[in-house]
Amino acid sequence: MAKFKVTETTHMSWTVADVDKALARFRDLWGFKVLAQIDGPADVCEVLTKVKDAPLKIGHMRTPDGHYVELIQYLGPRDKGRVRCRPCDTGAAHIALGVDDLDAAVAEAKTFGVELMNGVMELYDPGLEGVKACYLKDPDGIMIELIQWNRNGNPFHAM
Amino acid sequence: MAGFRIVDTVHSAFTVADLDKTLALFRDFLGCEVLVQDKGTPDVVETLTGIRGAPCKLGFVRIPGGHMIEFIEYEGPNDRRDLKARPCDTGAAHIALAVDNLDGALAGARKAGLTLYNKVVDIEDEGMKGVRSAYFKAADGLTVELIQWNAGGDPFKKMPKKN
Repeated sequence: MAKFKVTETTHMSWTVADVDKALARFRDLWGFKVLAQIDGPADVCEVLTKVKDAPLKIGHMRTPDGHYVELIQYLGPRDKGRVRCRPCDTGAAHIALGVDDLDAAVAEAKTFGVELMNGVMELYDPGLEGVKACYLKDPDGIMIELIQWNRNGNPFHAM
Repeated sequence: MAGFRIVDTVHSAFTVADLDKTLALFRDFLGCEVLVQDKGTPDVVETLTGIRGAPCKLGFVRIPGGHMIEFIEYEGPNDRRDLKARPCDTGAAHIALAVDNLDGALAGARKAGLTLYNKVVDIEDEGMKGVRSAYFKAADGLTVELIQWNAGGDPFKKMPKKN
């Protein structure tokens, strides 16, 4: 018998270089709502992560369908780096968003510096005909998958 | 006026080294539901990501409350690596899950394959007193934050729902 249970997902979170720029991008491009911006003290950060000398600027957002995404800007330490990840590297993450017009979204994303990683995939499998998907990478290295469903919608919702 | 709109959040996703181990962690320890296991073909991976020679194994997990996570184990290319990102590195990601009893989770975490980054933080701020949180690293390098709210619950989920 487990001594605890997971009750819900609190958020997905990414570390970004500039939280103000990243929040503006998620708000203006993807339509996320910015709920709060708060400062995280360096001592709390150290207790949680063992990373020293890192005060935080944190932004909380909600996706159009009610999930939560956190963006964190670490103001230190001096040797903080940048994850140069490919999707095949262990630890790489992405968020997948359903979109009503994938081609329009890809075109709009480009104007925000959010670039297509390769091509757009179209599915022809029975029941999934017409579904389109692509991977994008934004200026913070956050990978975003866009999926345009066909008239059957997201098959996982039916499970 | 944008020519499109986001209709839903389909999933969050992490690349892992050993899909079976990760699925066992999320199913047996974190109480999530494994919905589908599937295979990805190299041509699909290449179209989407530009990475060649990479068949992959996929697992879709539903977290209590309904959010979906996709875990992907790439079986190629040979030069794929382990990111070993620190939380301060731009592009690092984590997923935060709410639990009803953080001490209960701590008791079994190590055995389940989750190692504490450092320590539990107890929040003392006004209105947040009693909130506790801890960062864990899974064997696969995936970072999981577990949060125990106080009687007030998750403050963000009390905000007006309309975007």
